[in-house]
This record gives sequence, C-alpha cells and structure tokens, in this order.
Amino acid sequence: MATTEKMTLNMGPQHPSTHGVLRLVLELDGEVITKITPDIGYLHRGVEKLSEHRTYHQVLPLTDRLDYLAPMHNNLGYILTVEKLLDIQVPERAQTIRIIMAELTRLESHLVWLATHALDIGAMTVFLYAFREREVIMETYELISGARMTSNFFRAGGLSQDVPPEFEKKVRDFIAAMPANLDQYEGLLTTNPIWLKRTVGNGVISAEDAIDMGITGPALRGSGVDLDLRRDNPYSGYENYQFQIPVGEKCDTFDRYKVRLVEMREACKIINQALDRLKPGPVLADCPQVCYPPKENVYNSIEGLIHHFKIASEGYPVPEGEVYQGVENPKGELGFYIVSDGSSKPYRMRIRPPSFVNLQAIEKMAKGAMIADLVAVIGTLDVVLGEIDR
Amino acid sequence: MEQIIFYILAGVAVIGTILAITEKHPVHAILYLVTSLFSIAVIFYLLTAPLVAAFEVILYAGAIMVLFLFVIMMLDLGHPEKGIAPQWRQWLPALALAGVSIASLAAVIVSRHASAAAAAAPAPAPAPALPIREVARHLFQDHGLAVELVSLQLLFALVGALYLGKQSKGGETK
Amino acid sequence: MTASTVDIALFAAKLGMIFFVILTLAAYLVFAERKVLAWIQDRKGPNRVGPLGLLQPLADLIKLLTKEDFCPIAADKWLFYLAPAMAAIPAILTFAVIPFGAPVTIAGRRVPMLVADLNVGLLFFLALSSIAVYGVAIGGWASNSKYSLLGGIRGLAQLISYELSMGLSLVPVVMLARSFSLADIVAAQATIPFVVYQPLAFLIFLISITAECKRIPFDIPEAEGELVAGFHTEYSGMRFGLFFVGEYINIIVLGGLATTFFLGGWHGPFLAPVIWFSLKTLAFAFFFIWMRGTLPRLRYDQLMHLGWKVLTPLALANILVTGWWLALRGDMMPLSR
Repeated sequence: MATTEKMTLNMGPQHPSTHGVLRLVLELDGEVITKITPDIGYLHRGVEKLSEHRTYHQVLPLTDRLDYLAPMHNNLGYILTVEKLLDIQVPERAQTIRIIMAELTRLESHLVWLATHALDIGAMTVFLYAFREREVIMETYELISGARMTSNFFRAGGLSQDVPPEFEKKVRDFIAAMPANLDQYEGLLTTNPIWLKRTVGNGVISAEDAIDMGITGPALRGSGVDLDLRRDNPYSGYENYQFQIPVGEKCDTFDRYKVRLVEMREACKIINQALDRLKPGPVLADCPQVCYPPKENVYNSIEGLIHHFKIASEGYPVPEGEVYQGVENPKGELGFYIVSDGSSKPYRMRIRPPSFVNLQAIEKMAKGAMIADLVAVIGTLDVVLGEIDR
Repeated sequence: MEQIIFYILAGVAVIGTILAITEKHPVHAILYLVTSLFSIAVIFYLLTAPLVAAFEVILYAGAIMVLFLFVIMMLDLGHPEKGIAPQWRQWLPALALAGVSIASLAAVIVSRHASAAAAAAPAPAPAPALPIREVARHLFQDHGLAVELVSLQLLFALVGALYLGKQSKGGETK
Repeated sequence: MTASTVDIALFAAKLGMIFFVILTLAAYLVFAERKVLAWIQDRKGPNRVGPLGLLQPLADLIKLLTKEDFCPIAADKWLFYLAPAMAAIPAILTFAVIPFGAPVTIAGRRVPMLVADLNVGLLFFLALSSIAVYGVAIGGWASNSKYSLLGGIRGLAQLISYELSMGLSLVPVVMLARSFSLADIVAAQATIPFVVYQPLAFLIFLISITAECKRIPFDIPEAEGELVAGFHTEYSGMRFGLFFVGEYINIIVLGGLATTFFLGGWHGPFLAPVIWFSLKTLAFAFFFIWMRGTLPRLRYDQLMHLGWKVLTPLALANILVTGWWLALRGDMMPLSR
C-alpha cells in the first residue's frame, strides 16, 4: 500500500456536519486524515468594526448574532462589560432574571450541541427529542422578548422590560420536566455500545495542550481542568448560587459529552434556585443618564419624551477607560474588551469568541483519525460559525 | 433453445474476456471480466452444474473481483494515462502460449469429432442434474484427504498473509 | 399445447404479481419508515398527500420522475447510468427463490408459491448479494466525486466484512435442513422454526443483513453526516430513486430470507401462509426502522472489526457446535455409500 496517493477532500462550507459554513481542507490517506486546514470567514460581518460606529445601545443587537445558539448569554457578556465601564448597580430582580435566562440559554445551546452531535454520529432520534425541548426555550424567549433567537433583551442597568406573569410557571414546568428528558437522551446514548465505541478515546486533547491553546468551556473541563468563570470570576450574582462544575478525566469526546450533560442538570438546579429568589421589584436601575424612561412617561409627559429622545438619538456617554469582561458562555469564555474614549460609541471593541479559539484544537484532536472521527470532533468542539467569523 | 442461449453466452464470455484484456481502464476491465464470469456461470448452470455456477459467481465475481475493485479504487488507479501500454515484445509470450492452447483445443475437437463421426453415435443424452448431496459425498468421502490438504494449504496462506500484513503495517491486522 | 399455455399464463401471472407487490410494498415501506420514525421521534410524519398521507409514495414518484437527470461532468457516463440498475436488479432477482406461500392448486395443477425452486437457492442468494455491491462501488466510482468514491470504497469494505459471516451463519441452517433449496428449508421447519435451534446463527445473520441493506447502524457507505450521501451523492431524479427503492426492496427481500431461513417461512397457525410470510417479513422491516430510530452509526473499521473478529469466529464455532450436536444425536447423514 505504499503507493496510495494522498487525496485532498474539500469538506464544507456546504456539508451536513460542518455546522454552518466551516470549510475544512482535508488531506486523506485512504480515510485516514493526515492534515486539516480549517478555512473560516464565510460568515464574516465585521461586528467589531461595525460597533465603532454605533452607540452602546445600538451595539447590543449585533451581539446576539455572534453565537446565535446562545444569544442571551452574548447579550449578558456585552451588557456586563458596558456596566463595568458605567459602574452602575443592577436591581436584584433583573440580576435573577438574567441568571435564569443565561442558564436557559446554556440549556438551549447544549441541547443543540447534543442534537447535532448525535445526528452526526447517526443517532437521529436524539436530534428531534432535543429540538423538542429547545422549542420550549425558544417560546420562552419569544414570551419575554418577542423574538425567538435575536432576543436583544438585556439593557445596561437591567432588562428592557419585566417578564410577563406566566413566565415563571412556564420555566418551572420546563425545568421540572427536564431531568426526565435528559434521562431519555442518556438512555439512548450514554450506555449505548455503539455510542461508546464512537466517542470513547476519540478526539483526545491533554490538559496541557488545551491550556496552551487557550481552550475554554466544556472542551477544557472535559480535559480535566477545573475552570469555570461563573465560580472563579463570578458575575451577575453567580456567587450566590450552589452548583457543581463537572470535570472530565480521559480528555475524550465521551468525557466532554458527560461534562455537558451534567452541566445541563446543574443549569436546571441554578434556574430552580433563581426562581425561588425571584421577588417583585424594579428591573431597571435608577440611572436616568443611561436607562430609558418607562413608556408611560414617554407617552404622557414632555420630560419623559425628551428623555427618551435624547438617549435614543445620541446614546449615553460612557466614561473613558478600558475594560474586559469574560462570561462563561455555553461554549467557553466569551470576552468583550471595550476601549472607551468618553463618547457614546465604543472607540474599539474586541470580542474573544470561545469557538474561534476552540476550533484550533481540531487538528490536534482529529489528525490520524478517520473522517467519521473528524465529524465527531467537530460535534464535540461545538463551534458556531457566527461567533468564529464575527 | 438451450443451444441458442449457450452460443449467446459463449459469445458474451469470449468478447467480454477479450475486452477485459484490451481495455486500458482497470475498472472497465474488471467489469468486462465480471460479465464474462457471469455468463460462464450461466453456462455451467445450463450444463446442469448449478453448484459450480453458484460458486463461480460467489467466489470469482463476488469475492475476488470485488477485492480487485477495492484495491483499484483504494489505490486510485483510475487514470489510464498513467498505465503504460504493454509493448509488442511483451505481448509475444502471451500470444505464443495462447496459440499453443488454441492449437491443442482445436486438436482435441477435431479428434473427438472424427471419432464421433466414425462411431456415428447419437448425441449424448443430457446428464441429469447432479444433486449437491452427491457432490458433497464425492468430495468428502472419495477425496476427503485432498480436500483437507487443500484447506490446510489455504490456512497456511491465511497465516502467511496475516504475518505479511502485520510486518508492514505494525500491529494492524486487516 | 394448451397445457403449456396455461402453465406459461400462470407463471406470467405469478411474476407480474410479485413485481407489482414488491414494488408497491417497497414504495409503501418508504412511507411506513417515515411514519414509524415520526412516531418514534414524537412528530407527525407525512400527512398531507391524500388521506393520512397515504398517497405520499405516489407524490414522491412523480417528484423523482420530473427531476433533472443530472450527470456530473467528467463522470464515466455509461457506468454512471448503469450503476443504479446494477444495485436494484440483484435485489429483485433474489426474490425468485423465496417461497412466500404454500403451494396452491390452480386449474388442476400444483403451483408452487415461488418463482424458481433452485436446488442451490441459498447459494443463489449469496451470489446475488455479493454481486449487488457492484452497483454501489461503480456508482461511487463513476460519479467522479470524492465523497462518492469514498462511499463506494466503504461499500466494498463493508461487503468484505459481512459477507463471510453471513454465509457462515447459514451453514447450520443447511446442516439442519440438509438442503440448499429454500422450499426444502421451509419444509424442514414445519414444526419448529430454526431460530429455536440456532439463535446465535439468527443473530449473526440479522446483523449481517442489516449491513447488507446498509441500514443504521451500518449505513456506512452513505453516512450522510460524513460523506454527504456517500456513493449516491451525485445522483438525482429517478436514478437516485432506483438506488433508494433498491434499498427498500432489499429490506423486503432480506426480511423474507431471514423469515425463510430462521422463522419457518410461511408456516404458522390459523392464518393463510402468504399472510404469515408477509407478517414475518414486515416484522423484520419494522425492526430495521426501529433500529434506525434508536442506534448511532459505527465507523467502518469498527464494522470490519466486528465482522472479522467477532461474527466470523462466532459463526465458525457455531458450525462446529451444530456439527457435534447433530453427530451426537446420531442424526448424521448415513456415511455408507
């Protein structure tokens, strides 16, 4: 077999399992992969540059289009960064709702991960089960923000509006049913010998390599590194919640799978705790320079109208300075670095997308493996191209 | 009726084989060869040897040719321009051997025909279909030792192939 | 002369019936698969075309027929056009040897409910199953697409790994029935089906036929998550349809064979033989669909591993055990000449 020719296979940007528009140029020896060259940028929209020409308020809608499977968490990361610059206090109720939505978003993102990962490995039913649950989360999104994906719900200083009364029951019902649903997925996969054959020992990356590459999120924790910003650098009041951070041992796809499933169960616990804390109160800080006035003021008083007009037309000025805020996005550390020159628009905004950094590991994880393994590796890295290409 | 089918099949077999030799494209050559093997299998069936027909297809068309095809596709030999057409000189030994076998075949047919014509015997009655049971009995009772020897030889070949495969690939046995 | 005319008419009627039934069944199996999968997966499935969506296969057929018949540039045209037929024909041909009912008497003559009772019926099936792979391999190769080529290679590798265990798992059946003829094999199971004596062989055969009809967990040659659509990536319209329907005909035929070899064929109490045969065959089809709703996909080297290192040795051991068992029961063929 000495004379086998190397074959170059162009996988993507249109391919069922490259999750969007990722393009991989593979060099194959038979079916064994000898080289992987990721080619990204098919979804580049210039979010960072665009944000330099928009007010802080107008940048917000750009952020849900980064990781479009976890829009609320992206909003949260950006808003927290702006709030850090502004140095304003967010009311208790807004904090709690933010946590509920952030964890629901984690569930949503992980559900899509599980669905597509399982589908790539051939387990079709898990895909539809996971999307069934995701649909409820999407409905919750729609309930509170009016949009299923581009939520655009958080505001500097709190939330755009309070949640409707039926919100709490909907989330409670969903969370109550979730453990049984997770058991259902696990029943189809966790002990399935074929699933084990495909995932155990696949895509191994050592803790050292993972740290060297800057990998974060479940992909890092699957390699045994106990790092989670929600605990290690808490934001939005995460320090007040009890939750476990699962860590893998064998650094393979199966461990990452287990880590994510435990994270989903922990997310349910966090949401339950948050729902218990949810008390009536304001959802927007008392900070008229930054926050829009309530709608009845806008419609009924000239002062309110002028207040609204002023913020809407020229935004709010943000003190000069540079800040970085990282949040534990479902996929890893999502960081926003904003340089402010004191105006109402960012001077420069830099996004640290977890998927972009995590994608680096693909060659390390899949080199020498087969095409079928590569598909599993793409699934386990859980990359979203909206975030990679920005 | 049967004779017509036989001649058609024989024609297909001969033409298929010739094309298999002359075709430059390895995949096409394999397909011609499979066609030829298939028609030979049907000829065997017409000659009331269904067992041989089945084995012809299972072993030659179904196993050996599939392996050939696998290797050719694996090695990506699908470029006829890469293969160098054999020179006239390289054809010579093959042609000489083919000539010898055709000549001997002709000699046999002529002598048979002559003797048959001399005896003026009626056409031989078609042989009854040989039940598989009879074939098995002959194989395993009359020629049991030979069968065992052959299977032992195959086992040697198997072990040898395994050994060779292991050496070159370092641990992988496939 | 009239006698032979009646014979020919009966035979032609039988052939026509079989073709009609198999093709309709294959089309509705596609529908059934979509429906059953939908029920498994908590959704509705096709329900728009006709009552309960029952006309969906017809709509699919019209769609496939009216689609562009696309042939990639630089493809090997002849082989590209030929390959779907090479995949579908062996599947239909195999049905010729399957007895699907008890012989009936029509117009004073006994009509066996199978097309041809070959005395090498079982070998005929093995021969055709090994030929069927040419459609996959040639289709993949002739498309001049790398995904198709990989799919074709996988198809060949898959055949090599399951064919041996499939053949070996049938040897005990032959030992028990003492015949290669499928009619005899069914007759031998009049009282007790072979699955009772040969559960292991049944299991090996079941795994092997799952690989043969390229179903999850062994849908490796077309693994849509990996190779887009494998060997039929470049096919469109009715040529794709031929591959597709061929696969479903294969399911029916292989289900029928498993019924014949292990479940006693058309034997069964109370109901008519043909109904028993259909029920058992469709049970296999349902099993395949069910499996698709449950299992992920194996990697192709893992299938080779399974075939060569697990199933084949098991099948060989099973043959040995069966041989000893028959010998100890004193049930051997008389050794005397």
